Amino acid sequence: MTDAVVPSWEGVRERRLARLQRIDAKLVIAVLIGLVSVTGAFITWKSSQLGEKATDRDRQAIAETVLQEQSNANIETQLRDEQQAFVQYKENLTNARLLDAQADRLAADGLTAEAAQARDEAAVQREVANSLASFTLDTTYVTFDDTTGVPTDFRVDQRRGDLRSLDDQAAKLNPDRTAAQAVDYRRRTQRLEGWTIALVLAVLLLTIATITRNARARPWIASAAVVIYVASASIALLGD
Amino acid sequence: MPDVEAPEIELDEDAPTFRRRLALVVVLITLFGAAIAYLHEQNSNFEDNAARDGQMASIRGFGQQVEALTEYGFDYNVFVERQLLERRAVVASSRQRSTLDSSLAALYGGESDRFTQLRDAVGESTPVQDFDAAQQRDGELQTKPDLQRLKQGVFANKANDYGDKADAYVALLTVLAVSLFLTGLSLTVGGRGRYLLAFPGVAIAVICVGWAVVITTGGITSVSDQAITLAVDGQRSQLSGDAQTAVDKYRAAVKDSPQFGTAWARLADAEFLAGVSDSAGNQFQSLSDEQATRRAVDAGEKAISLGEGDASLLSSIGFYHFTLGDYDRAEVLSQQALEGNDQFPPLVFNLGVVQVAKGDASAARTTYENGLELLADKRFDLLRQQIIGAARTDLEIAVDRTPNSKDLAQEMKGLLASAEAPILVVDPGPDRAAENSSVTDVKISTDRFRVFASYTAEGFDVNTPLINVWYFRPLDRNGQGPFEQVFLLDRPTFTGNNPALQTDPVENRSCLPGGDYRVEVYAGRDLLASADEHFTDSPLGALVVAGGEDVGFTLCRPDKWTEPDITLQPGSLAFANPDDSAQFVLVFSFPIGAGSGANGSTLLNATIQAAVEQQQIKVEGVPAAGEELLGRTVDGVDVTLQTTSVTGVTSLGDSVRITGSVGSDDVVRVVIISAANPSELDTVRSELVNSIRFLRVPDTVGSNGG
Repeated sequence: MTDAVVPSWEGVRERRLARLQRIDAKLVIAVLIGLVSVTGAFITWKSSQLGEKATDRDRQAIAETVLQEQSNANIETQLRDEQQAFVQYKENLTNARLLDAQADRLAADGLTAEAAQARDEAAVQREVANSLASFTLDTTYVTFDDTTGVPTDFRVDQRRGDLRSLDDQAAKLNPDRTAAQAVDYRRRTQRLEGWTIALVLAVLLLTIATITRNARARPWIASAAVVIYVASASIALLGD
Repeated sequence: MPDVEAPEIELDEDAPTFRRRLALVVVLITLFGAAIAYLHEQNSNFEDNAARDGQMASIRGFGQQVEALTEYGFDYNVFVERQLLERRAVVASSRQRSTLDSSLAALYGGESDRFTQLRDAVGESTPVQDFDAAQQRDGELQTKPDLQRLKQGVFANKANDYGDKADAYVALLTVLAVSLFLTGLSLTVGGRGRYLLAFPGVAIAVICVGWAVVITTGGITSVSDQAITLAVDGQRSQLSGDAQTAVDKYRAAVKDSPQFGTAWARLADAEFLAGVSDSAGNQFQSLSDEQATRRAVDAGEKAISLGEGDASLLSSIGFYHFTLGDYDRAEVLSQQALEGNDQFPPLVFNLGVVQVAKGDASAARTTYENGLELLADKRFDLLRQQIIGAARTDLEIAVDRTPNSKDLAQEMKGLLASAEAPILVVDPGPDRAAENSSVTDVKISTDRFRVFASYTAEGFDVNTPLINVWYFRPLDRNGQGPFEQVFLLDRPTFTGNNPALQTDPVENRSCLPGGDYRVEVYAGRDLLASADEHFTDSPLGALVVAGGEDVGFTLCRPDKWTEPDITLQPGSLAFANPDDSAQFVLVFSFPIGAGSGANGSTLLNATIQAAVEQQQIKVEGVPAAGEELLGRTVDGVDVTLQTTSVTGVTSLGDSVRITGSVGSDDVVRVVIISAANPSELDTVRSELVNSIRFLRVPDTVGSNGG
């Protein structure tokens, strides 16, 4: 008695389509769900990174604001001190001119002693004005009357602008720009978080594909999920 | 054949379907959770942005405050320099007029011109040309820091709102996790029991959906830039003393942005201030028009409902409720205010006065004692008397609204008097009046627009200080309603061998407004006597103050009198009655120049003689010596000036009186008044000459032209 003949598939070549059909679709879907979840976790991590950067920019913007306001306060204090000195300078030189004029009148009235005293006082006023200017005032910012030579104006805005440009450290600061960067980082985190909803939607479709009793619909639903996944992940990660 | 019992097999036919559906539900809940997480992240981001912007605005506000103060300091310093130069011009001009030497007159004239031109040259460097302009400038400079302060408040509110939303989403996610847990757990249970877990899980998820809708549609504080600008303008108006314009601005702000809590709070403050008729000179205002107070309460309650809750606001709104008689709400708000800050005495007294009005004696005593203990702290040295004054006015309100509280209110006023004594005298003496001591025959009188009290004090040790506490109620209240305590009038008297005492005459503002005056005399905390007196306004009509430091004197002139169309020398003021050309007042003063060549008396007589000749006055009688003018030293002490007066009739038949004085400071001071007849002249003299205060007179009055 011979052994029963056992049929063998050896040597038979399976068609590719048949081979694909033999793969458990549910297993593929499970793998896809895992892949989507990992992608979602990656996007969340990236979003978190951007959130940290935004927080850093917030702190930097506040620190820059402090420095900027300190610089502004310094400049304004110096400016007002110089302006105050200018008023004194102007008063002294105007007084000197008026004293000279008064001396002329007194001399004309025959009050020579008083006229000489007025001229002396005018000279003192000029000397005091010049000393004051050398200590406290940059006269390049002073406008003088062409005819009388008396100072008329202190160019405050120009002086302020120059003092600001001289302050290297403060000139580099732009807290508004830094704050705008923080806003931009947050906008990006927000965008990434938004795309995770699409990923969960893909998971939903994959779940439906798993549980559906309609075997024909399963690949179509799963395909739709894959399209959503690929599109949202690409836009989220590559579009950032 | 043995009986075979069939095993009990529980058929679970719908298990696959259940699992299938449940899987779907779980994923749907997860999807919902992802959406909620997104919203949470979004609101957290908005919160962070708003918090950062708020901090930046806060820092900028501080920086701009420093800049504003620096700029104001410069403007004010230049203004002071300008005023000094003006004063020099006035002095030079006066010397020019007083000197008899023509060359010296030329010298002084030249100096006067020089100082005038210098004044103009210096003055053009600042927009501040007078005190009103200084106040206005201060208000203008405060707008930028105030803008940042308001922005900070708005950002803070936004951050709070977004933070609240984000927190709510977190809570929702937590509940959603419970839903997922129950749903998942149902898969581990067989039979119908699984529905007991699955259904609640699904139900919670459905509730969460509704909750999410509520959170998402919930509003965020929205305040426009326009509203912030209006609120800044309102603050500027309020700082410059125009409370009504401030009210209009704040109303526009809250109309534009009804959620602008700070604007509502400011509106409440401005509404109350707009109804105040300040008659006590106290920065702590207690009395306002009833309708204004009601509007203030409405605005304040709205502010509180929008989350504004600083101690000052709560206490103020509580106080407004108190003045309207709503003691319960007043007490609640005052208590809440103290939870925020229990270290500021006015807030403590605001609660105490409500307790007085409610008749809660024990609580009131404790509260007032706490308040007075705080008030003793050094940091309140400059405010102490004002706070005590305001607390007394509050107690007057309590008695007016609830007469039953009179005794308790008086007990508290005694505590306040005891606290005020150390401010007025070095040694305040015993805390209680001596046994068998008394104060009787209290009478209130006036002297040259000043009020004083006289009384008989008996049974005291010599040199016992008595504290005289003054109250005032203006004429327009028609003798109704509470008095206001005028702390500036409070003065001590000291007992001596003579029982008849008189308080120092003091001004209730410059022109002694008509109304009801009251004085209370305390020894320690014991009230010994009080008296009321009613004074009418001037027969010349409402008086307003004219003059000041720039001319060297002040006077009260009838509001309707106008400056005559004549050129006056610097340091002079003149006013005429437009309805009666005979009524006129001219006041001037000038220092005697070194070259005048005459002593003070001679120069005064020459000045009076010149006026007599210039006006063609027929002098009646001989010049009369007297003390008709009042001066004030740099220390604020009133001194009478010895005077020489001449009365006569002009060529037109008008009565004229010229009164002059010259002091040890070599300054000539002259007043000329005229009226249609001697009777009216007496009225003008009584009402106008008596109101004049020459400033910076010497402590001791020297020889003068008598």
